[in-house]
Amino acid sequence: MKKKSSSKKIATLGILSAQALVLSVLESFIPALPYLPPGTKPGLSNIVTMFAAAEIGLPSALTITFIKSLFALITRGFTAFCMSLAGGVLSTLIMWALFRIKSRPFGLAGIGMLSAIGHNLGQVLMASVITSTTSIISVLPFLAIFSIITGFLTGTILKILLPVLNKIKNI
Amino acid sequence: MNKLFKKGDFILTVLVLIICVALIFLPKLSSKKLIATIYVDGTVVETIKLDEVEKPYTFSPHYNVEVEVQKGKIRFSKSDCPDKLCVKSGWLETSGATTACLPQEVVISVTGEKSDFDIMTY
Repeated sequence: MKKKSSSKKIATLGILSAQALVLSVLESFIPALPYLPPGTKPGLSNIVTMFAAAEIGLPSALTITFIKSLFALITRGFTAFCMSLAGGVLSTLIMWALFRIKSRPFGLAGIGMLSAIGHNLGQVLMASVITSTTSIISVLPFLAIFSIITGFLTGTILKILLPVLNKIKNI
Repeated sequence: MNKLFKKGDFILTVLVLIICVALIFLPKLSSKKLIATIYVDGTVVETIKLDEVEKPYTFSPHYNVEVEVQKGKIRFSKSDCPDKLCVKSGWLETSGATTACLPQEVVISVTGEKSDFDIMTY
């Protein structure tokens, strides 16, 4: 395995982070969906994070997550920063842990689904902390059902894009 | 090596669906009388029996937020927060419906009359 120079690593991470940011910006134009909290999105930027968690490593995946959160901080404020970080970190950790299980019981679709649920769980927990109440947790079942679909979507797109993303990784 | 679907995925999906549907419908089976609880920064500031509301009215539980109440439903009608996600949530009219304005730390939660496990007491 060739050892990458650190500037190449930074460049790769930069490209991946930019992709994640563009995807999240594009998603922000989607209007609020019925029965779901407004701001619920397909989570397409997680395609990039999942790739990093699977093929590069946890530090890189967490870096992308953190950059997404910083972007939320700059564009939407401190509350958005906390929410993005909470959901993102939990989601990334779950992704990475699932990819590490040698027997791989779940495919990309399942991992996408579990990390999406993780993302929602992290955000709901953070919302509970911010508002000092636990009643917001009642939205979780609705979010989880939506996560099934979005997780599948993310996993599928990742599967399709794997050759492209691998090319970026191997620059 | 990176397969899209595996056996585990199918079992997982079914499991998640069953659990979620159960969590959603179980509280609705218990009662029909709706109560809206409004929290500001964790403290209950207002409890409204939505079925007993005759005339629609609005009030402000916290500085920059306005809540509108009608028979059987409640919503955030105005807010000074940047996202306005709370206002965009629309009407809450079913048991379990909850929405929050995070920057202002205001939460509206609708529950059935039988007290539920969602509320934590300190």
